[in-house]
Amino acid sequence: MDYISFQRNKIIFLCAVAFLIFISVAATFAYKDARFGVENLPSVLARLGEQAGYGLYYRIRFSLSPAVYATPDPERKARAVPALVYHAIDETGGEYTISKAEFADQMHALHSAGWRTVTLKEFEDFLRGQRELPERSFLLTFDDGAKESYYPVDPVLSALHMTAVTFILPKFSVDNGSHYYLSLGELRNMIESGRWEIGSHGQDSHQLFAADAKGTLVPALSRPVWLADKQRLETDEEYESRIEADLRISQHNLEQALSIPINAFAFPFGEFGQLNDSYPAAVTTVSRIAEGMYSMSFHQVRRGEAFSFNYPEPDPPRALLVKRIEPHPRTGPEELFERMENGLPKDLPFKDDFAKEHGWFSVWGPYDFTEGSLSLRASPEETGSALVLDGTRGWRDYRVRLLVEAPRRNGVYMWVRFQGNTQHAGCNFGNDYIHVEETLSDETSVIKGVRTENIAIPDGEFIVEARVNGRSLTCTLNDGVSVTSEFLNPALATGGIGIKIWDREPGHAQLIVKSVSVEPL
Amino acid sequence: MTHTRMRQRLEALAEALRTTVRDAGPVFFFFVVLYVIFVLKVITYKSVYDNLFFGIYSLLITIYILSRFLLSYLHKPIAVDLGYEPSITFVVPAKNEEDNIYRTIDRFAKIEYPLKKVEVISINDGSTDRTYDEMERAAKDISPFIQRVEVVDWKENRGKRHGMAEGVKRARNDIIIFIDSDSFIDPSAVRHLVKYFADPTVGAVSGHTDVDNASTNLLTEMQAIRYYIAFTIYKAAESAFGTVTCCPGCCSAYRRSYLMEFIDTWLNQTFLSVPCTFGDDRALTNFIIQKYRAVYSYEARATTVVPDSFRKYMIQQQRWKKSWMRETWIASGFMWRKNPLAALSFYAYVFLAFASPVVFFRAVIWLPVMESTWPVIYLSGLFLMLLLHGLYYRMKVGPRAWFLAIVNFWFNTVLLMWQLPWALVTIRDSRWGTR
Repeated sequence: MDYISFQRNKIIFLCAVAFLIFISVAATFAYKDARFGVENLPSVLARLGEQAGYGLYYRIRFSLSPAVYATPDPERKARAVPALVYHAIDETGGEYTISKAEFADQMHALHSAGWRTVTLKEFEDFLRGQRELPERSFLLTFDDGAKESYYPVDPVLSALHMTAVTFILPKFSVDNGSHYYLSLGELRNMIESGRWEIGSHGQDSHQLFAADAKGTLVPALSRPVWLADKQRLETDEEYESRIEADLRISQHNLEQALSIPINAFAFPFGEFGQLNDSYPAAVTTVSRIAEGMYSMSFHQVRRGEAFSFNYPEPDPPRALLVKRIEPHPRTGPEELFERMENGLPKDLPFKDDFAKEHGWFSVWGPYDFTEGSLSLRASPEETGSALVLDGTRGWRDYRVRLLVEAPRRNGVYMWVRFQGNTQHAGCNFGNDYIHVEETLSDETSVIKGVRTENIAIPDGEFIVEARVNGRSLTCTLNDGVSVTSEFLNPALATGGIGIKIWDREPGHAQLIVKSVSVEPL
Repeated sequence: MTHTRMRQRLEALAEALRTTVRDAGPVFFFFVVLYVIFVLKVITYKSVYDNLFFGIYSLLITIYILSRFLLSYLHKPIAVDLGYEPSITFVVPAKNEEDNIYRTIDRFAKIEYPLKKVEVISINDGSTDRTYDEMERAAKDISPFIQRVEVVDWKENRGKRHGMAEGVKRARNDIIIFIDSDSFIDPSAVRHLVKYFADPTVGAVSGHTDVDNASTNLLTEMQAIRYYIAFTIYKAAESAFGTVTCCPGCCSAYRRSYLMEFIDTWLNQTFLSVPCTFGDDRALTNFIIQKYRAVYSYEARATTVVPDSFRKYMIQQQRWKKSWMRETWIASGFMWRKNPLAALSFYAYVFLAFASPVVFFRAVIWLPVMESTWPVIYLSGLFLMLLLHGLYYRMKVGPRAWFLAIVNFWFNTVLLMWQLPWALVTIRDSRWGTR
């Protein structure tokens, strides 16, 4: 060891270098853990690189191809606002995923048509009637808080100046997250970016539970579940306290971890009992509990369930129930754009000769849309079918005329003031009768009617007309016999139009609609 | 007037700032690369559990390389003692070097050392050109100034080893300095070689050799880095324990009395019953370090001409690999008796040298084909290590085409890795032994 020197200054220098490098390396990993959670550093770097690369790519691509489908009018105010929901954006082709390219195309299409995102606060104020928003405003949301619902999305948001809400599962995301779920550090960073807001998606309820001893799986919130240790079903009280605890704990955990109020809740699986009739009390129970803690609760609107947009409520409840549109895999940008445009509140007068899609959606049974006509047909096991026109929820006083053909001479309903499947008025034209009907909370009653033998569904083309004005509803068949009621329930003050067919014999009913025209009164 | 002066002062300040930034940059990046290497190690340390062999390789190679940097940093400078001036003999064996030989020999009369203590023995090893005439001319020119000059003229070629042995036998002075016919020593080099011999345990001293023709092309620039690194880091690190494994023929000094103990054994050395005709310097050093110490003198400067074509370079490298193989085998037999750290480093290096082609094959061919995993970590790790060396060179030597050279170095490392297994196969074939 004679030819080695341990001079003090060399030793000090080496110690300093070793110390600095140790500190830097330790700090790197500490920062990585705090900011990105358990994911390993190369993946983190790959994500960041990808994010930066896509950010640049989108900026260039979007500026090169301003595909405008419609020209927005900044003066027009929104009458209803939709919310979109996505899960993960990845290339796995799963049931709840869409690809990066599809997502970017969709957002770009919406943006270039004048669609702009709003924040939770703006959205809520609008629904409570406390704020105006420009037409074509929408709320963009993501469920589950997967990393793949942030990293591929953020560059798109940044390039298009959009904001989004992400509904987080605190069980996975508080602390260090996982390889799949976002970490707390990532959430903080998202909030700091100003592009993201946070909502809760439940603590333990984002999973299926056994509903009976056989292990039939159901969404956690939808009904009392099977307690394997006690060999029995939950009591109503246990069910309620489980849901109450879940909603509260998830809110508490997020508020604690992020030091921000959490006011929005997205039902796990978009389900609060409304899709399952095995426990009818679920809807009211879950809604009541959510109302106690959150100012808005979000679920998904299945196509055909209801109008796709959210309308301001004249007498808003403490907690709003918000519908969201979920674009399914392989939804093209034009398709989503069309759906959004068709959901926009329609102006009167309105005329539809079926040259293009205007947003008719089925609430019952199949239909065919061909150029020039729309046909409804009862499927073999069903007695009828029904369609509603999207974007008409806000209509008030109007006259609808349908030019139709009923080859099998089955009954035809003309729905007006349609608010939902369980809340609407209508004209029921049958062979030998015309009824003025109203349906309130799923209870249908005939408020006026005529029954005479000279009433019949004609052969060939004929016209059905409904005229609704204030509390008065007049139903007229083929400009002949008409019936009027002046006592429509005040709850049905506004609402849209729909068509329903019915026949006693399954698979029999059929109707061809040639044109629809609606005049304001 | 003041205005001009102020502007000059400002310009000087700007220039100073520029230089500082220029010089601080490589230093900064050197430590950044070091940091990145450590981060990479932390990421991949778990792989040790996945596969013991490859995991250990990965850890060991990092520890080995970084420990070289550490030891070279702790390399001890020795002061020149003007009271210690042993007599010296330059031994220059040469074959067909008519272009360089005069310049090589002529330099001996210009060194900074008492010339009356300088002896020159040059051996013409059967040259077919005018090398002998050039030697005689140089001898005549320098003989008035130095103690003694002798030119040996062999009509038939006997080989470099015979030339070196002849020089040792004919020498009369204490210290023998071997100089290759294509190498040139700095006038100050001799004192820095000799000073180490004041310690009687020192038998050999390697000087520092730089590449003379570095700016010829990318290949020679790359070799310049390689030489610089091999000497200032790897030899300096070996020097810490007095176990420099090769004091190269281009500029090294030996104590004559120690050489005489085994000069004939060395001259008649055979390996696997084939006479050893290359790697003479490495073999000689190996004999020395069995009993004595071999050290490295950073201040003893010389330059040498390196191959400037890829073919010549490959042939030279193959020759070196073969002698490395042979002498490493021999050294393995006694290294364990040396300083434990020196022994550990030595055996670790042997393991790494043999394992590296296997590791390369696994990462770059086997895994991509069998498991479709890209060797990103492996190749970037390899590149980072070379980058570390390149930045070290850049910060010590100054701005040159170092980065491209590093890329070339990387390319050659990948290529030359396969020479070792090849050398193992052809170890008994001595055809490439000629220069």
